[in-house]
Amino acid sequence: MIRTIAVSMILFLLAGGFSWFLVGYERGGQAYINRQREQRKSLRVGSHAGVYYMGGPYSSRGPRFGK
Amino acid sequence: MPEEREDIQSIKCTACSGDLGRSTRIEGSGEDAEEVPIAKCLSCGKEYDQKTEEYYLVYAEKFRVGLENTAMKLGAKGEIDGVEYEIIGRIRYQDEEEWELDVWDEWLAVTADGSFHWFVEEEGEVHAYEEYVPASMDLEVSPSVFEFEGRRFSKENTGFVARIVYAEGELTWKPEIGEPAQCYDFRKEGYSYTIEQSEDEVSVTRGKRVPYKKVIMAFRKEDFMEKYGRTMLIRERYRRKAWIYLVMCALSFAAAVWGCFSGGEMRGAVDRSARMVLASNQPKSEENANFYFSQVLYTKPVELTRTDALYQIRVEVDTAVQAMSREWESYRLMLIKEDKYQELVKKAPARTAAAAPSADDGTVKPDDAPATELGQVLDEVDTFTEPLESVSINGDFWDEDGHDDEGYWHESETAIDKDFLLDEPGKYYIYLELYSQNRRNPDGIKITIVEGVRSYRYFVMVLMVFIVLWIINRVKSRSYNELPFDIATD
Repeated sequence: MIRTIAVSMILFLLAGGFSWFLVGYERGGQAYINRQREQRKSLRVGSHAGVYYMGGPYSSRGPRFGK
Repeated sequence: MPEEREDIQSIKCTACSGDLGRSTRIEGSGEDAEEVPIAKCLSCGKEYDQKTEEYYLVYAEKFRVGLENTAMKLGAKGEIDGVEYEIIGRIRYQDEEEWELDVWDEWLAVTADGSFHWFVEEEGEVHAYEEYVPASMDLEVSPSVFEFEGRRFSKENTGFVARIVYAEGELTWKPEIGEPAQCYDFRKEGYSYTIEQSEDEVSVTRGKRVPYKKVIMAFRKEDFMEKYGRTMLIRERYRRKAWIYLVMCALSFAAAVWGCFSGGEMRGAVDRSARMVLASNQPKSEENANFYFSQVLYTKPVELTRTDALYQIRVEVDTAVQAMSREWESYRLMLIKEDKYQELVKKAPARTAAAAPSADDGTVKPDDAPATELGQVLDEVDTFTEPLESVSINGDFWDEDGHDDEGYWHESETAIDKDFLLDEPGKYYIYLELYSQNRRNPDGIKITIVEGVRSYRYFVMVLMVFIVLWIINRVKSRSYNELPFDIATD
């Protein structure tokens, strides 16, 4: 019984911890800027490829048929 | 085995006296077609299904499985609730409607005073029955209903035909294998009743459930009491675990709901009147795709101070300004921190001021706003070595319709929520890029910001885990069994 309670509490606290520290969410601010800096190092100046076309507009576009 | 084979060989066809053997036939048609067992004459081919006595004689062996796996046994003596019983006979029945094995055992017991009792062992429960004389009973009220002590019962819901498939010991009559009995089982005022109707007599028995513990203690204490005790102990453990997981389910659900309803809208934070249209519906062509491009800059910054919770930005098509119809529009929204914005404006103050008058001075008509120099600079924002924006989110709106095999359909997505976490509090300017299939009013986009949003996805995940664990333990608390026969929870 104690083991069951312990495992349950660990799972619940893990969920609480992940939620409190907002693990896995998109991080804006300095974290975003640092990520972009690294990404842009590999881009040619003037290139449109690799930034928003990788996941930006049109990314989910495509024919939708039916429901 | 040789004796059984002899029995089968002695069963003769009623039409030609040929030997009967086992066979199958297809019942139903199409997807419902099912191969079912039958007895068949090896000479004339006459078929005998489960509604004939011959069928039960041919398949007698099939119905005798697990004869020893019972809570009672012939000759056992024991005391239940102060009454001494001796088991003197057993009859095993099969439900005539079932092709599969569906048997139950009825044990005849005699007490010290010479009265007979039946113990029915079925689906993990034992019921003790005794003869009962009802105050009133009419089985022929109508073809579908019978009356029993002032109440009416449906024959269809309570009735079934039981076939004797095995008998041993001393019984109050001489049963025949395959002999049918029309039975009606029902409950009334806490008792279980069975009406058994044969060609020439009707008998009524009334019974109550007897806990397995009492039955095993009385008749099979040495054989099964230890296993019964262990089974009940482990079931109790699973039951407690199930309770713990159920409590955790409730806690996780509550936490997830709390997260779902967290956050509050920052009313008035996005001032639509303070915005500059830097470019409006410029025709563009990229990667073999033609589209219209617009840029909007909100000149009143939004103050975002929370770094301990999520922000949620909702971007939606403002249908009051312009509805969407059979078209798409994509957006990219950037948050530019105040210092970087000021730096940008310093670099091109004249261009900004001259080329992009504000909206609220009435000089901008969204559809013919010129392409500004600031707009051109921002159009190249991805090429800046030092990123200008602190957050960038994007999404697609669409509206489509058509016809399929179910008829006309119309679907659209005109609002998108995105969550993000900000690690730097401060004032941010909103810059919006719009890409559309058709010319669209850049004013037709509405932005809402919600602050203080809490995460709930991890609580939903553990809720799923706890639900699975609860189900597993709940099932095991009822099904764990070390005994050789089914046993329901007492």
